[in-house]
Amino acid sequence: MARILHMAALVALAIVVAFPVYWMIVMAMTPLGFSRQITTIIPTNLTFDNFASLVVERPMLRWLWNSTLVATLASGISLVIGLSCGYALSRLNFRGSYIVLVLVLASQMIPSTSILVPLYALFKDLGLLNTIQGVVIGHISLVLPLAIWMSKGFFDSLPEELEGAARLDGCSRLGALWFVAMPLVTPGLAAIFVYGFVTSWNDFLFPRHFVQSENLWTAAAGLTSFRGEYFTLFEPQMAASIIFALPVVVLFFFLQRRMVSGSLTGGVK
Amino acid sequence: MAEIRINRLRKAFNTFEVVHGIDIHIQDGEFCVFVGPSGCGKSTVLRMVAGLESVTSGEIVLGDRVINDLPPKDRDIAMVFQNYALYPHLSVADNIGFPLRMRGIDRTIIRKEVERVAEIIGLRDLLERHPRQLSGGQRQRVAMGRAIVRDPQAFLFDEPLSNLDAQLRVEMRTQIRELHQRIRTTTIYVTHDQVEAMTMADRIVVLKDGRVEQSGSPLEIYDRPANPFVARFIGSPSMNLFTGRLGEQGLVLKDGAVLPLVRPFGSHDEAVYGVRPEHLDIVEVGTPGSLEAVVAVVEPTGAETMIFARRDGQEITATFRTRPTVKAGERIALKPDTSAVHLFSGDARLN
Repeated sequence: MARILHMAALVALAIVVAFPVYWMIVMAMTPLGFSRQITTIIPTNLTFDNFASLVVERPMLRWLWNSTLVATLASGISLVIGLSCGYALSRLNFRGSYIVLVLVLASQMIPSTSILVPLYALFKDLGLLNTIQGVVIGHISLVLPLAIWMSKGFFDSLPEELEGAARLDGCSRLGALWFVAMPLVTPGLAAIFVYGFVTSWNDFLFPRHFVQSENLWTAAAGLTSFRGEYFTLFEPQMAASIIFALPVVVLFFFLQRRMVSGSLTGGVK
Repeated sequence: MAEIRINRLRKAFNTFEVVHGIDIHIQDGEFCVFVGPSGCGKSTVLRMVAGLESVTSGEIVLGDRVINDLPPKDRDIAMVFQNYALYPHLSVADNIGFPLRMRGIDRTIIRKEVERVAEIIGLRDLLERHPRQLSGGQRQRVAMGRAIVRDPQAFLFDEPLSNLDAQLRVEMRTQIRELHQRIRTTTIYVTHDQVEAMTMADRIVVLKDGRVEQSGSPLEIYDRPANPFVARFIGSPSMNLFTGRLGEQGLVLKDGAVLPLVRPFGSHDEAVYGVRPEHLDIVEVGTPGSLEAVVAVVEPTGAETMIFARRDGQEITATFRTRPTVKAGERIALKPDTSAVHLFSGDARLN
């Protein structure tokens, strides 16, 4: 009996989670303008026209490419900076390191909506408005604080002796980081990258406000272009949403194996 | 191989000084053990020799080079850490070969060297495994292999056996000693275990609170400890120490009992009288120069019998090769062997 209840609960939960996804697919495959008239759970009249229209009528591919570029750059740069900052904060004892950490954390607590206007003014002076670089820099500011904290955490979990041993074995400090510490925190690096990528990919605020020309929009900003003043093109929007969500899912599956830790066991004690 | 000279070495963390200007001279090929209670600065000194800790003032000389400011990689020193510090992502072979790889040595030569070393430490069959697949003792040997493959000028060991179980510890102790006899590399070995120090060292340096208390061969230190701290720290079970005033016949305890000395040491100064457990004899109660005490516990270990007795709240330990027939609660008299007595005044040895 308990097992049946258990199963029933799981099934119910699965339906709650999966149904919106399912309905997104159904709507994406409904002919334009007919989504409000669907009366059954299993639709009959299916079409791929909405997907085609994304490419033909809108620069969806261009937006996806922009998104990929922005997310990869923002996440990659944050990873490199976060890694070096986190390593320094974890390994070097310097005056004020704690204050640096707290300040970094504090900057993470500021909601991005509240820095939108100052950033806009700043980017305007720097000539970064309406550029991809501007969006990348904006996104780095969103990702970096947590990237620093995460990487500090990963390095803290590595015993210092490993790098000590490497340095006695002929490595410089940088060599010890490269040959010993880095390979051991790979799962962490993957996690930081995924976090940065998803944050940047999903962000709507910065690309929508810093970029005017449609050609430079990211997909997240592009998604809103289906919403007009008086009506919304639900079907193509759902189709765009599917295509928008896919890369992140693929990336996650791809990096998931790397994120599984456990490679550290056995080195010490 | 080279000698190591440590001159007036100091270490301070911010304003807190932990090593107060110590001098140690380790000869070429010597196996030197730093021993002391935790917090005595022995590991800090070792890490300064390795280059993992900066030197506040003083000098560390290896061979004829002052190495104070050399980065660790240029010191030509190998170290075995307490937690082994093996590289978890590398196989045993790659762990041992790592120092050679970092020097840019050819792969085929590395392979050969690794096999040679694996032979010495008895790990030939485990070369392809990863550290996580090894037992504690095997990991310890990999760490040693990684140290000897480089043929460095000096070895440093930082409490390498403290994570092993008792039996393995004794085994590894012998193996490290054997290895040293074979390759004769100058070695500094840090431990808090005085038995390890006694059994392994050519020379022991006893440290306490960042100062050298005494330095010498194990038996020198055992037979002639320089002060009450060394007397108590070296030897297991510990030496019995009695505080009293010096009189004509010997040391007079507070309750009037007199501990005999071979010759009078004059004055009425306060002094500490030390006698090792094996230098006490059971005599008839009432014998002059003996101490009466009540037996608390009798511990036979087979080879020896240990007797813990109490007198005025002070514990007295005595060990016997013979098997005395005393029982807990019995009143016995213990008489020290006057030729093996240690007499201290303050921090100095009197006899």
